[in-house]
Amino acid sequence: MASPEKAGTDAAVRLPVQVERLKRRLERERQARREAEAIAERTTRALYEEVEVRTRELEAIVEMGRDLAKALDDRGFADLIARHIAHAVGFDECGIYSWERADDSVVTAGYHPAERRSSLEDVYALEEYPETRKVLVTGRPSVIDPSDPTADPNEVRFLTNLGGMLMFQLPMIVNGRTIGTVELLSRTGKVLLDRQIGLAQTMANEAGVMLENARLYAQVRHQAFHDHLTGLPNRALLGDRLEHALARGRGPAAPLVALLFVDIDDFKIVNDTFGHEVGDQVLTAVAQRLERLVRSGDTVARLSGDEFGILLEDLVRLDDADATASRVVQAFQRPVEAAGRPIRISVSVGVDMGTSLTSTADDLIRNADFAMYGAKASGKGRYRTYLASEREAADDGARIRSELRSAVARGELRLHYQPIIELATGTIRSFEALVRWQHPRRGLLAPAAFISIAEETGTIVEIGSWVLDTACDQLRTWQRIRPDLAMAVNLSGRQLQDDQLVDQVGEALRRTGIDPAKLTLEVTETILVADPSAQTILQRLKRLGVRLAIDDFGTGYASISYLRRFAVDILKIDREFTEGVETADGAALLGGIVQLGRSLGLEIVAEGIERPEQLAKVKASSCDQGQGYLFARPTGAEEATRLLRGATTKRSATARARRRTSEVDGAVTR
Amino acid sequence: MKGIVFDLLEHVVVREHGDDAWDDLLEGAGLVGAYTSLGSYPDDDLRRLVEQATTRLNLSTQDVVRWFGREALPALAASYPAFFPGHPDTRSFLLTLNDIIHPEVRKLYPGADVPEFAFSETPDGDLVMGYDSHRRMCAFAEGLIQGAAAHFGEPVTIDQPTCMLRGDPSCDLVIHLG
Repeated sequence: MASPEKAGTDAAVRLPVQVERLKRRLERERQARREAEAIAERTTRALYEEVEVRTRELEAIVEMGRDLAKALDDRGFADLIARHIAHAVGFDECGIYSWERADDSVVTAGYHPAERRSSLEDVYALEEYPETRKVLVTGRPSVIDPSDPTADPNEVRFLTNLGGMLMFQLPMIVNGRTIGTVELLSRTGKVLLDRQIGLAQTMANEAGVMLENARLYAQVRHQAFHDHLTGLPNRALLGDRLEHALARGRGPAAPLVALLFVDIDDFKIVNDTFGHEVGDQVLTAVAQRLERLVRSGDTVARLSGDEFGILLEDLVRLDDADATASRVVQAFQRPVEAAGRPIRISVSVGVDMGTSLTSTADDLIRNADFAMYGAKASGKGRYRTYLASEREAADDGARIRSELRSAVARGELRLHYQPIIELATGTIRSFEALVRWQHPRRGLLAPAAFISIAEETGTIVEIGSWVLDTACDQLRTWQRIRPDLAMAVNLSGRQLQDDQLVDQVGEALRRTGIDPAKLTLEVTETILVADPSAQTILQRLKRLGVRLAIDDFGTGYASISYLRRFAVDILKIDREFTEGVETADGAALLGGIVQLGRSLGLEIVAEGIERPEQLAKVKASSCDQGQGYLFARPTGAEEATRLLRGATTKRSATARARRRTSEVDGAVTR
Repeated sequence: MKGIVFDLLEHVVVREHGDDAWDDLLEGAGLVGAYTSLGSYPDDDLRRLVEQATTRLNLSTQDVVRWFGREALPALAASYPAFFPGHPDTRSFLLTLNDIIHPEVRKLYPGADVPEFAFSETPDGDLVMGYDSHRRMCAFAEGLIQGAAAHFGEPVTIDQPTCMLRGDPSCDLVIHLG
């Protein structure tokens, strides 16, 4: 153990050392505190500044997004992006270029300041700009520095031409795919810091998404409003422009607008002859030719198939539209080129015009379309201006047309029968079957109201077949009362163009088992003369054993030779002659015709006998048969049956014979 | 090296050996030693302090560093208690190092160069922590793991079949708990 004295001495020795050590410890702690405070202050300040910068960056991005979202128009969209990025990093100029991979080029999409845009090309071939291509391919930024001897000379020239000293190229990356570049140009040699590159890159990518969306949107919109083949506006866009054109002015200032409806004549033949590929080329050639014919503000659109529409806006004079229509028609006097050969086509054009006071867009399109059909109907290769009166007539016709199509199926057709009398005995020799249409609203319609329409639409074939079958069935029924009774059925010109008529008649005879000689087919002289194919079919019909009657004889142009060639059996002398028979000349004329017929061995029927005086004269001319209201008007099967049984009085027949037969009747063919 | 490590070292040295021991280490290493957790200091300072300790305690460098790690953990647990509760055991705690604890360290000490561990498992179900820091302080990690096991009251043995100090590209710490 150490003595207390020794201990005291030790302590005395150690104390100063201890004190020194404590002083150092104090100093160390003080130093540590100061350092900690300094670090804390620096850190706080740095954090604050960081937050400030970050906030500004975020604001720049948000601000750009907001501006771009407001910019509905894709034009100027990229300019906006360029401006935002330039401002965000404090640079003078910024260009946005979109990468056209297929063309190995970039297209100048936008620039800030926009007024400097004119110093730039629209397209840059990447072949000449390897550094830009590298940025696009690698997705990594790059710097063009003219003071760097290894810098690409073309890139440097591009930069110095714009008056820049340094250029930073950043890729614009959307979903991992580079779609273009953002180029920041410094006129002072100012350098882009890493941090700013990061921000510019973020903004570039962000903007890229919106740019890509805008592009897709524009593309979709273009596809929705343009025709793929010709690149022309489509029907929807034409309609839209038409509406705008009409809506631009109201009242007396309303602009005059015209619509031309252009249809290629017989385009189906072009397609059938040369194939659809050539057909498509013709359509494209037509599109181009039409476009060259109009003013720059007018619209040529493809409406469908071989139909085009031309919208002429702000017409000064009414005949401006006609002049254009005329030019359109004439433009196709020259053939179009397709598949390396000239193809001759013509177009039919319909024109309608109006202002917002008179017409809607739909009116103009519909009316021009209608007028175009008029142009076609009057011979094609011409134009026609719309007339309201034609439309009204056509509307009526169109309605009947569509109703007639289903009339047979709906059982709306009826047959009436008018007896043909043997004048010597007053007995019924045969009936003529006459068709009626029991129209649900219009009532009972005579053939004149619908047969020409049926011929035009082809429905006549179906109607004719029904008439034939019904008449033959009725004849078979009646032959149980009167075995030698005959039936006459009218044939139309259109029916006689159709081969299947022969089969139809043959089938009706076979099915009903009636003697062919008891079936008479009535045709008019005109048909006999006009249609060579009808003649062939008539000859084949004759071979079935049926009899042939010439209806309305004396009004047409048949010659005696025709009567012989077709082995005509019966002449039905037109009512015109019956009417005139009470005069001496008339009687002589009728007598002459009868003599002529008899000399050819034909049976003669006088049509339209209405008065006993006429009957007496007709009898005197030695005509053997007659038909007319004096005997009976055309009537339904039930009434006709009573006539046949002799149950009807002459009085009841004559009482109804007030109206002229011709007003109600006429044969099926007329 | 972040100041927090020096602070921890000071803390455990003073706790175990008294104030003078820390002064002795600093004086022996020729360092002023005004460390603060907010600052960063040369890695070499730590090496010199550890070197002093090995001389004075007559221990190997790795033993000193391991001891440091083991003794530092309770101090960390006291300073940052939030990381410990919610874990039933050592393994669960260790597995949060990469994703929770080290990101938090980086928030407090910007620029902290904390290691990223490659976790795996042996066929026996032992946890393996791969470590490849250039500082080669696998022993510190070992010590911290031992400290953590102690915290959760689990016996632990740690093997290092590979070690950077023996020339391997990385260290594998195979941790057998229980």
